[in-house]
Amino acid sequence: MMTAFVHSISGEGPRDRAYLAVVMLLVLVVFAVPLLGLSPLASTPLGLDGYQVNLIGQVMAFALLALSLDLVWGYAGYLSLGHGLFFAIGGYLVGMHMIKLAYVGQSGVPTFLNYMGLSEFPFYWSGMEHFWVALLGALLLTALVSFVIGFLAFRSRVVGVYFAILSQAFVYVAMLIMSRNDTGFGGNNGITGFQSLFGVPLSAIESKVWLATASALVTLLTLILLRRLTRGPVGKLLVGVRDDEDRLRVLGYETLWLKIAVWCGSGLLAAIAGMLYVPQVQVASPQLLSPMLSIEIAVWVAIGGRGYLYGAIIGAILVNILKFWLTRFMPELWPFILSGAVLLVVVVLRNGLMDPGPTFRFLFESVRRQKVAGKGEGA
Amino acid sequence: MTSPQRQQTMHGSAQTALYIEDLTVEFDGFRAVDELTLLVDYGGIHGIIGPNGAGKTTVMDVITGVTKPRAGTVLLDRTHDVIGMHLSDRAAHGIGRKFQKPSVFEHLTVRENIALGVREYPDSLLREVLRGGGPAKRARVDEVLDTIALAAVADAEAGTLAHGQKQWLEIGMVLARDPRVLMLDEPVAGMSNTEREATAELLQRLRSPERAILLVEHDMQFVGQVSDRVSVMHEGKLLADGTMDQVTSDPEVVRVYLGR
Repeated sequence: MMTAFVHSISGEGPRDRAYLAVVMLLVLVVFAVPLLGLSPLASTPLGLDGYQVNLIGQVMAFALLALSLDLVWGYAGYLSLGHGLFFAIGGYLVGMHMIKLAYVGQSGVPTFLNYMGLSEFPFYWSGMEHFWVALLGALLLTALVSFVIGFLAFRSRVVGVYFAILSQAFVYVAMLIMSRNDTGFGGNNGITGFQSLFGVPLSAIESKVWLATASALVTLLTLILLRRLTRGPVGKLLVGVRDDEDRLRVLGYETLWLKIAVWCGSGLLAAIAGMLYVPQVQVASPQLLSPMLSIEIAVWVAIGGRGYLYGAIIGAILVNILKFWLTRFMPELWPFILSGAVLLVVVVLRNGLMDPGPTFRFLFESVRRQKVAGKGEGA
Repeated sequence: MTSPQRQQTMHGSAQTALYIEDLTVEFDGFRAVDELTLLVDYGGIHGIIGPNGAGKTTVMDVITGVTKPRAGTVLLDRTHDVIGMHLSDRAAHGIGRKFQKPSVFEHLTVRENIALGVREYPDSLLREVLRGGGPAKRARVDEVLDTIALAAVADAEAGTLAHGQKQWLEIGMVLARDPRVLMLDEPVAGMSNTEREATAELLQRLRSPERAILLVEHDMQFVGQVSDRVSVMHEGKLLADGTMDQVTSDPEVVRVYLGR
């Protein structure tokens, strides 16, 4: 019955089924987290505790971040090793919102502003106690920053590994700036001491549950939206840019604006991921801008498989769950395991777990054929 | 050198599609094209032959816009300055080109490849993306599929096509926009005899009084078979110009091709 349902809305093919499976997984998370994370079911054996809910929420924010990278890397063919920049813009702005909220009706400022000799919030904190100001600010700032980077890079026709290095340089510069105490965002320690979001204390299980649910829901909606986008004319053009940009240009397409648009859109999604992530870890620090994080995003997408969208989500989920689990028991082994996984994927698989390549596909096919043959005998 | 007047007598009332005058292209001091003057007429197939490094592909690169010349003029219909045009304007003015290496989008289907060649809203990419893809576009894609004889594999991924089919597909992508100047860089390279014959027939179908076809090809027999007129280039210069028989009996051409 299940398969009949799958076929009725998806057409056929393993790709469509994998997409649908990931959609269902996300739907499941959206419903299961509030159901099992809040009372009355939370205290049953099936229930989720705060740690588990928080973990699911963080992984979902990472899945959204991976989706944003897959759009520019998997479709347009431009690898960004600097997506942490947009993630951090969203993260810092939602952090500013929560800090400002904590100081509403009080005089005084957080310690990191005190150290700078300030007794009140600088002008760019004004209005930040309203969530919509922070949201709008994050989106506008991300749009501006991504536009400037995209325009400069694409205009000069920077491609391939040069683009990756350039994007990494931007995130590194941002990390250095934000690590300075006199930049006014708490330097190395970042901004922290958040208390509540939308009136719910961050320490309460409710806030963890709703943040995790929201992260899963936004990831789900983004997946559906990007799937529509990439299967339509925009997707064909992006694949054209990836596979043979000169051919597309000589056909008469101005690829500059297409690339800028997709790059900015991807940056905005990463910023939204940051806005979902920071309230869950309760700190926005230059760690978000660390080149390591930006490279890890690419690792999630590479392991899941580029250019399928759901591959990025699967990669982000698998790698991060493994990371959470392993760093609890054997943190010193994690870098080796991650490097090993990357090597394995690069050497053995053609394009991540979602595209095992001809050798493995042959294995799968022969297994399936045997199964089908077995069924035939039974009937 | 053929004078424009003589061309008039050769092709009746043929109109000049491309007017190339004193074109010079340099790469780090090396003159790939050296004060080349060449006229390409509507209605025919104009072959360009010459040894490796003669500058044939470079001429196409200049007309397409992927290479900037050092000096010279390229006019379309004797009025539009091609060199000053943006890449996308050149396509909008009907300049189309098939590259030497078959350049198709391997992960898109044959149909999707051709659809990328059709533009319903040439002025706006945004409108093309939002509103393009109507019945007119689909009809044009089907028409092109018939012309290049790939209707049977319309829904296959381009990457799965045979080499010859990829060449035809790329011609189809360019053809989709009904180009006035169609440049073909080595369309039969690597093809079997059967495929070569099919390509020759395809080129005959592409002939039109409103179209100039410029053909760069190493296969002399193929050029002789399909071209109305042949120009021989050597070291960036025009060496001879005329029918295939005329140029192959030219002592200079014989000297260049058979060694000095």
